[in-house]
Amino acid sequence: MSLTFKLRYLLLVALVCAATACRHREAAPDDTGPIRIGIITSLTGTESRFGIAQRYGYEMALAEINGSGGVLGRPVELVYQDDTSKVEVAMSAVEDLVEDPRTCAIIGAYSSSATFPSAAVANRHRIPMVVPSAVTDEITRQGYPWVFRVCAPASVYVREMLRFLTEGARARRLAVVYENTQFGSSVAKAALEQAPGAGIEIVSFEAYDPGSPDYTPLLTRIKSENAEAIFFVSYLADATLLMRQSKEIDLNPKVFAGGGAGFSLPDFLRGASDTAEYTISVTQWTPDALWTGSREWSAAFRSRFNYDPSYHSVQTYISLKIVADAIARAGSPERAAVRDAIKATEMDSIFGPVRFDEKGQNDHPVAITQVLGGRFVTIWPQGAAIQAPTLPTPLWSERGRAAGSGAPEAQPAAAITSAQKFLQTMASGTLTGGIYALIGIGLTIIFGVMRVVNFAHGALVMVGMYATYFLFTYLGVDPFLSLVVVMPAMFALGVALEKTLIQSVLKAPERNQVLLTEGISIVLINTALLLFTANYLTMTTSYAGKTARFWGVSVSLPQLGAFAVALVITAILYLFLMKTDTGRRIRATAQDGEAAHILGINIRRVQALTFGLGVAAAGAAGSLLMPIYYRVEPTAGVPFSLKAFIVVVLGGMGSVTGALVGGIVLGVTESLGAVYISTGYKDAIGCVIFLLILTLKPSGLLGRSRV
Amino acid sequence: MKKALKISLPLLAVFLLAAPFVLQARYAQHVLILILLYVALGSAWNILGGFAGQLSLGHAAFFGVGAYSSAIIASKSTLSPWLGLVVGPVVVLPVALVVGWACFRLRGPYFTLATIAIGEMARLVALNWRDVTGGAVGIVIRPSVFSGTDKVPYYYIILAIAAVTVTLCYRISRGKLGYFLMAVREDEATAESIGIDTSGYKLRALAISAGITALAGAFYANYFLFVDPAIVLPLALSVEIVLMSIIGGLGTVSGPVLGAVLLKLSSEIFRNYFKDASLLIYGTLLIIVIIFIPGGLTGGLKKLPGLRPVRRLRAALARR
Repeated sequence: MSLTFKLRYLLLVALVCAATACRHREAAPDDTGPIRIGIITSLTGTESRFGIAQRYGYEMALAEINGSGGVLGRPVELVYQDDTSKVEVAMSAVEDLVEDPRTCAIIGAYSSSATFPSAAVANRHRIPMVVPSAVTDEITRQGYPWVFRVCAPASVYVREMLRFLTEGARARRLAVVYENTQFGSSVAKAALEQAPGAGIEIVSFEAYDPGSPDYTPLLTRIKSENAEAIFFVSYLADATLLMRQSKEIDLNPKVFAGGGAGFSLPDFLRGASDTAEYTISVTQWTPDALWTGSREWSAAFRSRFNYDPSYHSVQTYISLKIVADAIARAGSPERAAVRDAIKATEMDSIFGPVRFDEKGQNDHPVAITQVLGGRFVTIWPQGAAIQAPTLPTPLWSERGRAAGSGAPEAQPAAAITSAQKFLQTMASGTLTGGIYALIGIGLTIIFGVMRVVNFAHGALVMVGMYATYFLFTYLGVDPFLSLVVVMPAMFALGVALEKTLIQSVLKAPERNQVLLTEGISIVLINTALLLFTANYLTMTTSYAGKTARFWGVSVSLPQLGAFAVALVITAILYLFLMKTDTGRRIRATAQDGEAAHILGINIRRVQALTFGLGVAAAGAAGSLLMPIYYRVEPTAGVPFSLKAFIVVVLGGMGSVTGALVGGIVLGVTESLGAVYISTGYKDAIGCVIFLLILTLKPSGLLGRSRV
Repeated sequence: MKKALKISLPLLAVFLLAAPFVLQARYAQHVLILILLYVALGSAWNILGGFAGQLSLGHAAFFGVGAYSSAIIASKSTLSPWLGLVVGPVVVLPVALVVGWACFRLRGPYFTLATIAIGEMARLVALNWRDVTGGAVGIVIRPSVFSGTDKVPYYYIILAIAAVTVTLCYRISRGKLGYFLMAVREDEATAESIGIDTSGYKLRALAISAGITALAGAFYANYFLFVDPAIVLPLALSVEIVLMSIIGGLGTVSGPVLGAVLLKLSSEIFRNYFKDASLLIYGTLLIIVIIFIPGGLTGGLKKLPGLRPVRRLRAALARR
C-alpha cells in the first residue's frame, strides 16, 4: 500500500520535473529582432566589484553602439549571465547562452578560473568567445579556434614587471607570494620561468589560500629571506590584509609590487588606506594612457557612473566594440562569420591597437603604476611615465614624518636573525591561538553539556563580526567595548535558538543534531548574503597596525589586546563553572544529566544557559577578530568551524582548560608549519594532528574530557 | 503491493528511457543527469550512512578520487578518460580501507568529525600536489567517444549507473549484508557479542559505498569535462549527499532516490526563481524537515522487521 503511494509519488515528481523543464524556450533564428550578445561576468559573489566595473564598460559601449544606429541596422541586446563568481556557474552559463540560436557571440567571463574551462565549453559548441580580462596563459595555449583574448596574458605581466624591477628599481632578490588559484599560479609560474633570464633570483615562492584570516607567518617567512622586492599576486581582500600585516610585522623591502587585480582597483586605496601608498602594480590600462581618446573616455565614464574607471571597464568596453565591429564587417550575426571577422580585426582604440595572432591573442602592452598621494600614477615604461617612481619604498617607521625631507635614505637590509624569526613565529601563533581557543571554548561547553556538535559555530562567529562592524561603523563603538553589547545579544540569540530549535532534537539521533546545526549555519550565512551581499566590509580602528616591539619581535597591539581579552573571558568562564552554584549545576548536568534531573536541577534551563554561553563566546571571538582582520563577509566564519573542531578534539571534548591549550597548540603549530614547512600545507598540518589525536588519544591531549 | 510494483516499475522505466526524447531542451536534460547522479550518490552514501548508521561527511573525498582518476588519465596519457570509470573505483578501495581503519574505531560525532577532516585533507592534497592534479588550476578534459555537446549519451550512462546502484541497494537491504549492517547500526555491542564481525561488515559497506561514489565522480569528470578542487572536493558536496538521504528517509531504498529528485529539482527551481535566496530556502527546508519529520519523507530508518533485531539476526544466521 505505502509502496504504491511512494511510486506514484515518484512518478508525480518526475512529471513535475518534465513540466518544469519543458517551459524552456525553443526559438528559431530570426533576422529582424535585436542582435544578441551573451555576457558572462561576476555580478554577485566574491569578485562582484570587478564584475560591476566590467558591467559599466559594457553599458558604455552599448549606449554608444545603439546611439549610432546599432549594428546592421538592428539594435544590440546584451544577455547578461551572472556567474556568481563560481566556475561551474560560468560553464553552464555558456551552455545556456549557446542554446538560444540568436546569440551570436559571448564575451566573458571575469576571472581566470571561470574563463579557462568556460572557453573550452564555448569552443566545443562553436560559438565565438571574446575574453576581456582573464590573464592565465593556459587559455590561448589550448589553440581554441573560437576563442580570442583582448587583454595581455600573465606572461606579459611578468615580463614587464621583471624588466621594471631590474632596470627601474635595481632589485634582484625577489619573493613571489601568490594566491593558490588559476590567476595566482599562472602569474607566479611565469615569474619562476622568466626570472633566470632576467637575472633575478627568486628567494621565496609562497602560495596561500585566498581569504585566509592571517598572513603574519607567511610574511615572517618572507622577512627572514631578506628579499629586495615582493611580488604579490592577490585579489582585493587579500591585497588589503597583506599590506596591513606587512606594516604590522615591519616588513621593509625596497619594492612592494602587485600583479594587477587586487592591487589595481580604486577600492584597494580605500581598503588598505595608508598602507597602499608606494605600492606598485602592473596594469592593463590607465586613464592617462597615451592612446588617443583615453582621457576623454575616462572623463565621460566618470561623469556617467560617478566611479573611477579601472582597466576592467576598458577591457569590456573594447571587447563589445570588437564584437560589434566584427558583426558589421561579417554582414550577418551568424556565428562562424562573426568568428572569421573577429579573427581579422584591425582596430585602433583607447585600449591601443587590437589585432589577434594565430592563437587568438591580442598583443597588448602593459604599464606599471605606483600609488602616490593616494592615486595610481603611471611610472613605467619610460615613454608613458607621468612621474618618476618613489623608490626604494620608505621604511614603515619613517612614513608620515616630515613629508618632503628629500628622498628616503638607502635602507639597511632589515634581515632578522633565526632566533628572532622563531620568536616571531611563536608569538603570532600564540596570539592567533588565543582566538581559536575562545571559539573552541564555546563549542566545547555546548558539547560537554548537551552532547551536540554545533556545526553552526563558525556562522555564529560571523554574526558577532557583523554586529561589531555595524556598532563600530554607525555608532562608533570600539570593537573591544562592543563586547559589552555583543556578548549579551549573542547570549540571547543562543538561548532563543536552543529553546526553539535545538531543544527538539536533543533526544534525537546525533545525525539529526548535526544536520539541524548545519541547517542553521546555511540559513545564517545566506541571510547575511541577502542582507549584506557577498562583498566584504572593512573597518579601520585608530590603533589598526600599531605594534609593540620586544627583542626584535614585532607584535600587533590589537592582536595582543584580543589575546588578553580572550584569556580574561576564559578565566571568567572557568571561575563561573567552578565556583558558582549555576556553574556547579552545569557541571552536574554535563556529568550525568539524569542524576542531575533527579536531584532537582532544571535541566532545560541549564541547557539553554549553556547554549547561550557557547554562542556568546563565539560572538565575543567575532568581536575580537574585527580589529585584527579588518573585514567581514558572509562566509568569514567558515574556516573557524573546522578549526574549532580541531581545538576541541585536541583539548578533549567538553574541557574548558583543554580548549585553551588546544587553541594555542593549534595556533603555534600552524604558524610553525607555515614558516618552516609550507604555507600551502598549513591547514593540512592541522588536519593531520586532528586525525592523529582522534584515533590515538580521543580523550584529548590533557586526557580528561567533559566540563 | 507486488501488483502495484508490477505496474509502476515498468511505467517508471519507460518514462526514464524515453525522457531525453520528450525533453529535448539541453537544460532539462542537464537537470535530469544531475538528478540521476545524485540518486547514485545518495544511494551509495546510504549503504554506509543509512544501513550501517555511520554518518560520513567525507564522501566528497571518494567522489574526488574518481573524478581526478579520469582527469589525470586524460591529462597524462592518450587513453580515454572513460577508463576512470574502472580506475576510480579501484584506486578508491585502498583509500577507503585506510579511512575505515582510522575512523571505524571512533563512535558518533567523533567518527563524523574524522570524516570531515579526511575530506578536507583530500581537498588540500589536490590543491597542493600541482604536478599531478594541476592544483587550483584544475584539469580541462578533452571529450572522448562522445562530442561533449550532445547530452543524450551521458544521460543513458548515468541512468545505467543509478539503476544499478538502486538495485544493489535493494538487494543489500533484503539480504544478509543488510541485516548485519542494521544490527550494527542499532546496537553495535550486542551485534558484536553474538559473533558478528562488525568492523568487517562496516568496511564492506564503506568499500561498496566509496566505490560507487568514485564511479559517479569519474562519470562527472567525463560529463563536465573539467575538475578542480573547489568543484569536486568541497565539504558542501559531502553535506549535500547526506542531506538528500536524510530528507528522503535514511536507511530505506527509496529515501535517497526521493531525496535526490526533490532536492536537485527544488534547488534548480530556487536557483532560477529566487536567485540569491535559494540556499536560504534550502536551509530553512532542512531545519523544518529535521524538526517536524525527523524520519524523512519515506518514514526512514526501517527497523529490522520482527520483535528484536537480535532475534531476527539469529534466525538469519541459522538459515545460513
